[in-house]
Amino acid sequence: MVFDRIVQAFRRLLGKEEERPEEEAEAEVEETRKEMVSRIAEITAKKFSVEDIVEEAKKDLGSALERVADYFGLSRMVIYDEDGKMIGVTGGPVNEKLVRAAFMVKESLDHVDNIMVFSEESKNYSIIFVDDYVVVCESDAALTDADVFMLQTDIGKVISASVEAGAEIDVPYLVADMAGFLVDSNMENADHLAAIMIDLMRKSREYFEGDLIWIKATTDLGKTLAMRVEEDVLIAFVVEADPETVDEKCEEVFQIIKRNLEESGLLPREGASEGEGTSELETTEAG
Amino acid sequence: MIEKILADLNRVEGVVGSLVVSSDGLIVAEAVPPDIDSEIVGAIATTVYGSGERVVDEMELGELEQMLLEATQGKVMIVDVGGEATLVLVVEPDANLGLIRLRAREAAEEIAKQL
Repeated sequence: MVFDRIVQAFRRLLGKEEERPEEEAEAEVEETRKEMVSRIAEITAKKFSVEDIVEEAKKDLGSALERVADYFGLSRMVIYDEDGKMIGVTGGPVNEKLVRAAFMVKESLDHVDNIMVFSEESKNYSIIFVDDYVVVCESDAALTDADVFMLQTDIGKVISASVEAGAEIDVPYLVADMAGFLVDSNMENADHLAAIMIDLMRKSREYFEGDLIWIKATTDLGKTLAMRVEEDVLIAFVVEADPETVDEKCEEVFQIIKRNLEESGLLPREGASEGEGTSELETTEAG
Repeated sequence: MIEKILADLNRVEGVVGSLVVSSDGLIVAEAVPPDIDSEIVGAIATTVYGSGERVVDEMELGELEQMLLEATQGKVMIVDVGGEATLVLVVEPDANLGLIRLRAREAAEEIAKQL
């Protein structure tokens, strides 16, 4: 639109359009010039600032990744740790087989920086290895060597900032999607536990027609295993608290885990538009 | 006698009804209003408590003593009765759970003596 107006302005200056008062024509050229300056400023403001994004990642990894993806023109970007656990995602998960293949390559070769994959659906995948992390990027256009180099250099800073700043969860916890796949946990044997917890949750939900909020199981050692489904993701953890305070403690821990999941993009934020984030977790396998 | 314990339990504010279910799912005693299907509540207790026992056992958290299922329409509390049965309480959604937990534990101990 801006360029149409420039062309029109030039046409007028060249006398190809009917004569208009000189002042009016000059005013229009000036307006167009201002609009262009404003647009250039807008583009310049969008410039990739690693420092800004690193700062943002300390508070909100999902949002930081969204900015990185936006700058590089990525439709999706998913970050996995060395155990194959998804730690951040923007734009939704990527093909599981591709992720498995990436890990296989990483394990097979002593040193590999990146892998470029071009799919039949005209999608380009750039798999970048950053320290112990695997970053899978999907884009319509292939990333240039310079882009890959920038991503490799800077995304590590973004991940580190986020991991270091992440709220500490000091209780055993587990996060799994309702298909039984583990998303995140600090417990041993978490894959197996996720499967039996999902089984328990499914059985219980059958009786409550989807209205079930919490399941809390308390033992003779005063430990309470609390389970809750949020956006089709099971969040389970263990707390030790008195019967009077256990509900409050459960709510507190749940909110911390939920916030961490939202910040890493694994759960949609409250008020986020429908379809963002977690529903897609159902197709994601980690670990 | 168990019916008396259940009736007393139902007088605690927020408790809508209660029943005792054997470990094989049979209802031993019940004190529930007619709009609550005790068969279904008994089935919840047997199925869910059994699965809950398996989970806490795998996690080595100790012996399961009590389970609470909280839904928007109400809550179901399942309390172990000497390993032989469970005491099941149907509770209002906004009930004071601290007091109910305490009374349910006392009632379960009394019921265990009767079984």
